[in-house]
Parts: sequence; structure tokens; C-alpha cells
Amino acid sequence: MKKIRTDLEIRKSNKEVLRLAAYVQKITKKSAQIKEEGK
Amino acid sequence: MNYQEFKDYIVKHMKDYLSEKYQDANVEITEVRKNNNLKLDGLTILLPEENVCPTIYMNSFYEEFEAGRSMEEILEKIAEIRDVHDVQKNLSVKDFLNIEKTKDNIIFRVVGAKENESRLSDMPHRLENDMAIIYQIMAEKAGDGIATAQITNQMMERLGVDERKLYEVALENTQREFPATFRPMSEVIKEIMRSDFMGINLNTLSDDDDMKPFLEALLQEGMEEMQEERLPLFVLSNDRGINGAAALFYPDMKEQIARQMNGDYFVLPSSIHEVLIVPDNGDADYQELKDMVNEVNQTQVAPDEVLTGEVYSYDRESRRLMLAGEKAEKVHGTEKAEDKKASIIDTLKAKKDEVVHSSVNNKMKVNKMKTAEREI
Repeated sequence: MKKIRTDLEIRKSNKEVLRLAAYVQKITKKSAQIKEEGK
Repeated sequence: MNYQEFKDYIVKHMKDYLSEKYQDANVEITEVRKNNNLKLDGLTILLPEENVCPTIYMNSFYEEFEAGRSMEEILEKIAEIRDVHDVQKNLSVKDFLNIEKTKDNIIFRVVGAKENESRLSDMPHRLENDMAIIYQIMAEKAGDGIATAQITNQMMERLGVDERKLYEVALENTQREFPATFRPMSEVIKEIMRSDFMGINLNTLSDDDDMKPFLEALLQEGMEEMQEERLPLFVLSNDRGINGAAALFYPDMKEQIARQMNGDYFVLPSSIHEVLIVPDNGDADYQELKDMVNEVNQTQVAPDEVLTGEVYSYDRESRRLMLAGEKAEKVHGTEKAEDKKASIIDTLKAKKDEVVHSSVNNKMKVNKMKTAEREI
């Protein structure tokens, strides 16, 4: 083994907030739909 | 400038931006297989006396170049990254693969097993449903980032250990170095908004993207819609927000969450960096949740950060995390068995009624006969 490559991993908060917000949006929408259907 | 020309330019001009000590370094770009079999172009700047060095990926820099960042800025940034992360000082392959020297730095992370099938054949791992726990040696932990080397079968052999030993040390180290965080979604988003969210340029999102009005509303109206009682959604990660999905496999973690949720729950693999927990109160349909995961994976998650496209369910009774589909089948199977049982009971009851009825009829017949006999 001549060399070992290391990977740098950095927290990407912008990407993180986008994917979390996507779940919030979808679940909020679904909850509203369930509430509406329940009326 | 196309991508190939961009890479050639970087290799040719890199040393102009590096300090004196790197002038004899070997600068090259090689293709690297990353998570989910994604192939990226990694730049290494290796000093003659070094054999462990950081990889800097060119693909995202080319995106920045296309978005208008100058080559000068990009080269300066790469040189800065190489310098800041010059962590492998005095670190040889021999030291790196000495278990006594490295055992406190072995950690684990979790990836999708299906998408990484071919990579997994070359690395020690253990499966958890359709996820795989893999091992890394942490070379550096600084600022917002970490530098790690993936442990391959060859490296494990050089370390002189087996997968079980890796798991044992990694479990202890990962919990210690990356303590788990379990928080309501509202709190997590609030925190990110306070720090980085304002830096997001909403104009980069397409007008057709329905995330845009949603994010605008979040910015304008705050988090009223996201109160915990209205949105029972929790985020499990670690204090760094890097490879935090691994926290799900910390000892007793799944059971601790069950205690907090007071029952069964779903796990949505939002990325390799975190998973989402949704209490299973009977309202949620796992197929709908699975569709949601796949949609978000395709639209909002970087290809190398996707965990899986499944939904998992924790069953408190059996203390098992399983594919939600498997649990639904189990429940369906139990319901079917209950129905079958009920139907057998109904049949038996009907038979009994029939027998009783027929016995009553027979008795009546006998009585009638007796009466008839008496009459005769």
C-alpha cells in the first residue's frame, strides 16, 4: 500500500436545511389533508 | 472551458497557488468511487515524504466555476484547503495501519447496502436491514469538518483485526467522538436558520420548485407551522451533523427513542447525515412515507448523501428495527390469522349451533315419536 487517501467531509448546512424543509413541507401538507378529510 | 480543460488547468496551475513547501509535490486528479457508487474526480497534492493525503473533489468546484467563480479564486480556495488540512504531518502508512496507534480513531458510519454493493465487497461491513455499517479511520477532526480514510479489506488485514474487533472499537469511539443529538425538527431548523439559512439564495431555486414559496414563507412567517405538537417529527443525528445516521445504531438508541415516543415509530432515512423519527400512531401510511423519502432523495439530497429509499419501523414488542413494509406485512399477516381464527371460531360455533339445533330437533323428533308411541 503506497498511499492512503483521506476524504474531507464538511457539514453543508444549506443542503441540510433544504432537505429537512422538504420533509416539513410534505408532512405539513399531509397533516392538513388528513385534518380536512376528517372534517 | 469544458470540465476536462478545467481539470487540466487546475493540475497545471495548482503549484502557483501553493506555498514553497509544496513545490516538489505530486499533483494529480484521479477518479474516486464515493458513496452510492458515485464517481468523483479527486485532486491529491502529495509531498515526496508523505503517503497519506487529503482528497479535494473537483466536481463541485467546476459547478462553482460555471456559476461564475473565477479560476483564481478556485485555485486559492483549493490551496487553502490543502494547507489547513495538512493533517498527515509525520503520518506514515505504517503508523496509520498500526492498530495500537489508530484504535482510538476507528469510527463507523452507515450507508445504503444496495447502492454500495460492489464497494462493500472490498470493505469490512455489517448489514442492518438494507443499510450497511462501514468503518473509517479518522485522521482529523477540526472546525466543521472531519478527514477520514475508508477501511478496506486490505487495510483491515494490515491492521491485523477482524470486522468484529472493528465494530467493537468503532462503537465506543463513534459515540464518544460524535455524541447523538435527538431534537424536534422545529428546533433543528430554527438553529440552522439562525446560522446559515439566511445565506441561501432563494433565487437559485426554480420558480417551478414548490420549495421556493415554502422557504419564503418560513423566512417571513417564522416557525409557527412547525410547533412540535403540530408537527411530530424528530431529527436524530450527531453533534457535528456529519454521518449522523450512524447514531441510530448506538447501543440502546432505538429503545431510548421508543421510550420517548412511548411506542412504535417510523425511521425516515433523510440522508447519511441524519434520520427522521415519526411516531407510529396509526395515522401514517408507510407507502406514502416511502414515496416522500424517494421524492426528497431525488429532489433535495446530493447523490452521495442519499442513505436509502426505504422506510423503517421500530417494533417495541420485538425490539426490532425492520423495513416498514415487512412490519406492515407482519401486521397484515396477524390480522389475516386473526380473521382466520375468527372464521374458524365462527365455523365451529355454526357447527355447534347446527349440532345443538339438530340435537334439539332430534329430541323433538324422539319426543314426538314417544308421544306418538304413547298415542298408539
